[in-house]
Parts: sequence; structure tokens; C-alpha cells
Amino acid sequence: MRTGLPFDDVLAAAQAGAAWAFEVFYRDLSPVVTGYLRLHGAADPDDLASETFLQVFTGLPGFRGDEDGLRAWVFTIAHRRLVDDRRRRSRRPETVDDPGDLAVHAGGDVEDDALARLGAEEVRRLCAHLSDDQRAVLLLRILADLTVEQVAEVMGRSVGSVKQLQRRGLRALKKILADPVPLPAAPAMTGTR
Amino acid sequence: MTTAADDRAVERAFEASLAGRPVPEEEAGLAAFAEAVRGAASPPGRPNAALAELLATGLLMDQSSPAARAAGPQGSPGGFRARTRRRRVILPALIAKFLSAGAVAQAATGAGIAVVVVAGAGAAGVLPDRVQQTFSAVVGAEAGTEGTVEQVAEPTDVADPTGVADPTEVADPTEVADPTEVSDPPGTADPSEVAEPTEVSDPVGAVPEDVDEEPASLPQGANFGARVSADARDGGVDGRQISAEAHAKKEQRKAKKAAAAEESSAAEQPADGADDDDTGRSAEAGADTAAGGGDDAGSSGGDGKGGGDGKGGGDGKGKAKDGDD
Repeated sequence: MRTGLPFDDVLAAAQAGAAWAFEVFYRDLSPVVTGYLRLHGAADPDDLASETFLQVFTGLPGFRGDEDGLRAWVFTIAHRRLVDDRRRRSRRPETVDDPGDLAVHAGGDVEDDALARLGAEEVRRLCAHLSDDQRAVLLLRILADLTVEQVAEVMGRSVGSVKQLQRRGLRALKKILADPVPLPAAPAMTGTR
Repeated sequence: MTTAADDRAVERAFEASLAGRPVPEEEAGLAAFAEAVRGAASPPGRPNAALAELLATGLLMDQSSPAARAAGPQGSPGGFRARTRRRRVILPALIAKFLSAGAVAQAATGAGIAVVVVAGAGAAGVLPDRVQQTFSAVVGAEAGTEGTVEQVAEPTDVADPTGVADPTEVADPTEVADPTEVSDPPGTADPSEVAEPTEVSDPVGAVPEDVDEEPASLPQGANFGARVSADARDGGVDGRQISAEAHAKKEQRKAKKAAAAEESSAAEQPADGADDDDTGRSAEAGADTAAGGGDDAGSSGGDGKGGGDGKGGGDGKGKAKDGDD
């Protein structure tokens, strides 16, 4: 763990309900979980992440596994929360309306420099051009550091399906990054694509 | 137009960026994207109220689990913190509730508290002598009431102050309710005598003595019940006759009881009384039905069988009740 404490000790304490162990897990996982939810366009990523961790901490006594397993489990809960939130809201999440800035920086020799300066907003705009599943696969791979197999478990899909989603997502990203033409208004992150 | 080879190259670059390996120049955009995604996720989230509470206090099971405290390198401060916080919260909450209550509710609460305080002081024996006497008398009477109903019904036990000095009555469970034992001023001051009421007031102690008294009267009742059972088996049950016998038996016991009372053997009075009642009832019941076994000894299965024949005992039942009245 990033804290330097043995994972098993922290897990045992958290399973017994120790506040300090909760805090260790929260500090370690909260940024990536919240970032995952935020880049998915969740209306209130902080609250959704909080609900995720509440469920994680109350369900910890039944958890068995190592650190990677815990991470995958936490993201499984976060992903399901996200899907539930989407269904509950039944509306389009806030996405890109004006991709002009990105279009200016994208393409040509300027591309790399621009991407090197990509901030959260730009990343969110890029993500908005991916389908929900493509975005989920790429973000789970990058943020949660999960393997293709773990992503498949989190999303409840087959490994082949996840590989295909990843391939298409990367292709779409490359196309967006290489396209010097100003991007049209980004489609909503509704998962319908 | 992208080919399969391009896709594979992009995937390889993507995997390389995830693993932290160098990425081909033409795929630098993807690597930058991955880096930006990680950077976008760096600020930690803000926990909502429920999660903040959980992070501050942990779960309840934390406080009862020693394993949790042993597991952490610094123990588990959450549980202790939560307990202390709850204690700090409860008292002000009670005071605030009291202050916000109406005048009547406050008065009632105050009176309740006063009663509890006085009762506690009385139980501890720290009240002034006269007040302590009264308190002890009331408590003693209540203790006697709780012991058995029979004792309360016997006015001599409670009201008769003459038995105060009789040491033999101390050991007698029937004198439990006698307040004079407790209210004796010197006795109150003496720790050894203070302990006496607790001994005496134990109503459980009364039971074994009653039971010990039973065997003397048991054979009679048993004989009577056995005879009724035998009659029932023979088919020769005469309800009237049995009722009359039961009545006679009861009269005898009453006379015996009166004589015993005169001899001031208070210990045997309730025992006899109880015995009489039981016997009388058992005689009635024995004439009625199988419950003739209501008599202690007669409660054997034999009586139960006789119940079927005892239908004719309907007469006996009525008469027996009249006789009781």
C-alpha cells in the first residue's frame, strides 16, 4: 500500500471496523475512484464516491482477497453505482458543448505539446467522445490499473468483449487526437453508442 | 483508414504507457492522454457526511473487537473516541431535554428523582432514625406482600407488634413482613442486625418450610384421593358422600388450625391453611373429575382415569361448592 503498512494488517483492521484503516483505504483509493466517476460525467462524483466507499467499508468483513482484488472490488462497486446513477437520472450528463479549444490544440506538430498540457477538463472532453463502455475500459485500465481480465469482471463482460472495446476506444481516441478539423459538439455519455 | 496493424501498434503503445515503458513517438498522444487521465484523478474526493462520520468513528464492531485494536500499528483510536464522544453528548442532551420540557413535566421529573434519591438513601440506611423506621416499615411490609399472598391476608402477622422481641420469629419466614424487626432502632444501628432483614425477607426461604410441613398431612390427603380413585374404578362413586366427607375433613382442619393459632405457632398456620385449601379443593375436584388428583398425592394417573367415571360427580361438585361457601 502507499502508506507503507502491510496490506493484510490494514485489511484486518478495516474488516473489524477500525476508523484509521478506513482512512488508509480511502486516501489510497478515493482519488482514482472519484476521478473515474468524474471523467464518466457523473453529476456528483464526490457523493457517488462517498456512497461507493460506504458500501465498501460496510461490506469489507465479507471481503477475501489481496490488494489487487480489493481494488477491483472497489471499482466494481463504483462502476455499478455509476450505472445506477445514470439510470436514476435518466438524463444526459453534462458533457462538452464547445470543443473548440481542444480542436485548436489537436493535430499536427502541436498535438504532443497540447496533450502534454492536457488538464482535467480536456481529458473530460476527450472522454466524452467515447462510448460509455469504451471509456469505462480505458479508464479502468489507466486509473484503476486493472488488467483486461479484471476489467471484464468489473464490467461483467467477457475478456474478448473488453479487448474489442479497448481497441475501438483507442482507435477513436487516436482519430480525435489526429483530426485537425474542429470537433463537432460531443455526443452525450449515454452509453448508446 | 486504420488497419489491423495500426490497431495493434496503438494497443502496444497503450500497454507500454500503462507499464511505464517508452512509447513510440507517433503514439505520444496516447501516452499523454493516459498521463493526463492520471493527473485528473489526483485530487481526492470530498466525503459526504455519512462517510465522514464513518471515517472518523469507524464501525461499532470496532469498539468490541480486540482484534481490530491489535491489528493496527497504532491501535484503534476510533472506538474509544466514539465512546467518549457519546458520553459527552448524552448528558447535555438530557439536560437540554429537561430544560425544554413543560413545567408539569419538569415537576414530575423532579419528584421522580426525589423519590429515587430517598429510596436509595433508605435502602442504604442513611436516613434520620424516624424516617428510616418508617421507610423500613413500608419496605418490610412490601417485602412481606411479595412473599406470599397468604401472609398478607393474615393480619396478625403484619399488625401484631407483640412478636417484635421474640427471637424465634426471626427465623420464621412467615414473619417476613413484620416491620418491627427492621424498625428496631438499636437493630438498625447494628450492622449484624441490618443484615437480618435481608435474610428474613427472602421469600424463597419460606417455601422449603412449607414443603417440609407437607409430609405430615400428605398421607391423609393421599388416602382420601386414593379412596376416591378406587371408588371411581369400582364405579361406586357417590358424589354426595365424597362431598360430605370432604366437608367434614375441612371442618376438622379448621378446628385444628384454630387450636394451633391459639398456641401461637404462627409458623404452622399458613402451612395448615394452605394445606386445608389444597385438600378441600382436591376433594371437590376428586369428586368432580379426574382432577381429583388436585390433591397432591391424588394427582397420580390413577385419579385421572377415574375422571371418566366421575361424571356423576356433578352432584358432588355443586354441593362441594355450596359447602365451601
